[in-house]
Amino acid sequence: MDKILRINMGAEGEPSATITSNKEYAGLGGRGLTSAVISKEVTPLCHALGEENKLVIAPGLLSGSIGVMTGRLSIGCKSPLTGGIKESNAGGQAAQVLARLGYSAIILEGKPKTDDLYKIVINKDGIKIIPDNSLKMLGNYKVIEKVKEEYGEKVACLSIGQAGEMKMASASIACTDMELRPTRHAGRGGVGAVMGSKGVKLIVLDDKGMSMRAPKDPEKFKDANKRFAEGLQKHPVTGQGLAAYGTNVLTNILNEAGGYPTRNFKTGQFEGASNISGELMAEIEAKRGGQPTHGCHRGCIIKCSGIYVDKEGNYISKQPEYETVWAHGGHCGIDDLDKIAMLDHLDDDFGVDTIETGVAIGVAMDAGIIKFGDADGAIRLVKEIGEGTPLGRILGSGAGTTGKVFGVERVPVVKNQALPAYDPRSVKGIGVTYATSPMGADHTAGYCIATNILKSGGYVDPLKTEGQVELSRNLQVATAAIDATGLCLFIAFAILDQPETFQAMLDMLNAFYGLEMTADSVAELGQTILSTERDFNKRAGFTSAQDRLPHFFKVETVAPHNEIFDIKDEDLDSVFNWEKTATVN
Amino acid sequence: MSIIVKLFATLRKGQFTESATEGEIEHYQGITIRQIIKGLNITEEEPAIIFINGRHSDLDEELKSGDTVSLFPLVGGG
Repeated sequence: MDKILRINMGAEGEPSATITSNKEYAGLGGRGLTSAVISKEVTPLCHALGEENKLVIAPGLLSGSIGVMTGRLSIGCKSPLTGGIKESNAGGQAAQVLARLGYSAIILEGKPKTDDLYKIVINKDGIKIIPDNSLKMLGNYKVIEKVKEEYGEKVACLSIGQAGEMKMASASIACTDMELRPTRHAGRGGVGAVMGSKGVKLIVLDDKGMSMRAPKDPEKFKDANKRFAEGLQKHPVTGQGLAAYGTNVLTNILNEAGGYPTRNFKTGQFEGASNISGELMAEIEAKRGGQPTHGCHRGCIIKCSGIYVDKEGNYISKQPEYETVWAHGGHCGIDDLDKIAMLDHLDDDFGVDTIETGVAIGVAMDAGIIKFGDADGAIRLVKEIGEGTPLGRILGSGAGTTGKVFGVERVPVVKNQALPAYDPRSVKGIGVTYATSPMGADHTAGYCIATNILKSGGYVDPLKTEGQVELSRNLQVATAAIDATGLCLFIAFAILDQPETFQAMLDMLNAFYGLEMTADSVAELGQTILSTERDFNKRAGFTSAQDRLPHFFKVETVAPHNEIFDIKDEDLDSVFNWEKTATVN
Repeated sequence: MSIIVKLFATLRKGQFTESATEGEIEHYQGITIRQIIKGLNITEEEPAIIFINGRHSDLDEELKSGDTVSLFPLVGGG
C-alpha cells in the first residue's frame, strides 16, 4: 500500500492516470488519509460538483491483511449535501482488494469535458479507463450483472446508480459484497454525486495474482490478531448478539427507551415497532429460507448482516440495517418489513442513502405529499428518484431541500444532513454528536447510544445533560481513529468493555507497521483527524452556528419522557476542547 | 392491577407461552424485577438492559401497579 493512484478525468484528450508514492501521506489510512487529502488539496469554497473537488477512495491501515474485521473503506470529498468535508464509510470487498493491489488511495480529480461515462478497471497489470456509455442510467444491480459477464465473479466493484449520474445530494457509492451484490454503500453526504460529476460510473478492482499484505512482524501480528478475534468472539454483542439479530435488534430497545423518532420526530414510540423488529426479521429470514447471519466482507467474524427474501424465498435485499428500517419504517409510520426490504433494494439499486431518503420521504409525508403509513406511496416516491422526475429530484436532494420546497418547519437535519434513528431529546449524548460532528448528523461519528442505552463502555443516563459532552467527545475521537484503521466500528462494543481486546487491536497496528502506539497515541490520531476536518469546514464557511440541532428540538418536547434537547450551546462548543483556538464567531 | 413484563431477543424463547412476548404479572407490595424473573426461567445475569416505563433501572427496583418492565440481554447495533 505504498502507491497513490491519481486519475485526472479532465485531462486534455482523455482521462489520464498517474501513480505516485504515498510519501506525502505516509502512515495515513482510511478516514485519516481521505480527510488529509481533502483538507490539503481541495479548495474549501469550491463547488462540490466542480473540477476542484476530489473523490478520495482509501482502504484502512490494516485492510488487505489477514486481520479480522479489516474490510472498511473510506470515501472522502467535499460533500454536495453538507458543503463541508465528508468521509463516508462502507463495508464490502473493495477495501481488501484495493489494499492488496498496493494502493493506499485512488483519487479522482478534474472534470470531464464531454458527457461520456467511464469505467475504470484496475488489476495487477495496471489501470484502464474506458468510456462505456452502455452503462448510462443503469441501476447498480444491472451494472454488476454486466460486470459479471465481462470480468467474472472474482472482482470487487464500486459503482453509482441513476442518482449518482444525476448528481443528487443523497447519492451513494455501492460497494459489492462477498456475493458480488451492490449492497454495501458509502451512503452519507452525496459521495455518489461527486463520482457522477467526475463521469465515473464503475470501478472494477481485481486482485488476482496479488497476495495478502505482509506485516512488519508477521508472528506478532498473527498473535495479536488471534487475541483480537478471541476478544470479539467472547463479547456477547460482537460474539453473538449482532450475528443473531443484526443491527435491527435496536428497534425494540429504542422504542422501549422512548427514543424511537416516529412520524418525523413527533413522538418517541411507534405502535408498529414490533412488526418491524430485529427479532421478527430474523425469524422471517430463517422461516423463508433467507439468512439471518451474513458477513459483508471476507474476514468479518461479527456477521451482523443477513439476506432478506420474499415469501417464495426469492432474494429482495441484504438484511436492512436498523437505521434503514427506521427511516423507511417508524419515521414514515410504516410497519411492513417486506415493503421496507423492497425500499432498501430500490435505494441500493438507484444508489441513494437509505437514511437521507427515508427521512426526506417522512418530511414529504409531514407536508401531506403522501400520508404517513403509505408504504406503496413511499415505494412510488423512491422510484421517482430513480426516474429523475421533478419530485424525485427534490427528494433525492435530501431531507433539508425537501423541507424547504414543501414549507415544512420540522426538518431533522444538521449541516443539511438527515438525523438517523435516535431522538436527541430522549438520548441526549447522541444529540451532542449530531450537532458537533464535522460530518453533519451522523450516529456513527460518536455512537453515544452504546453508553446511553446499551450500557456498553459504562453508563451515562440518556435523559440527563451531565456527562454527555465528555461521552460524545471521547467517542468521536475514538471513532475517527478506528475509521483510519479499516476496522469495522462494531469492534468498539468489545474494545470499550475489554481492555485486553483494545490492547490486541493496538498490538495489531504496532506489529503491522513496526510502531509503538499507545492508547494516548490513538487518541491523538483521532483528535488530529477531527481537527483537520473542522479546519476544512471552517475554511468552507462553517461557524459554531452550524454545530447546533434544529431549533424545534429545543422547544418541542417529545413523549413519553417529555424532554427537550437542553444541552447548552457553550457546552456543545467545548466538545473539541483540545483545540488551542476555540471557534468563536 | 398488574405489571406488564416484556421480553426481547434471547430472553423471549417460550417464556410466557409459545408465541407471547409479553405477559402480565400480578402486583403485590414490594415486588421487584429480581422476584419476577425467578418465575420466568431467566438468570439474574441475563437481563443486561432493564427499563421500567422506558427508564433504565435495576433488579432491585420496587415496582408499582401499572408499571411496564422491559428486559433485554446485552445487545448492540448501530
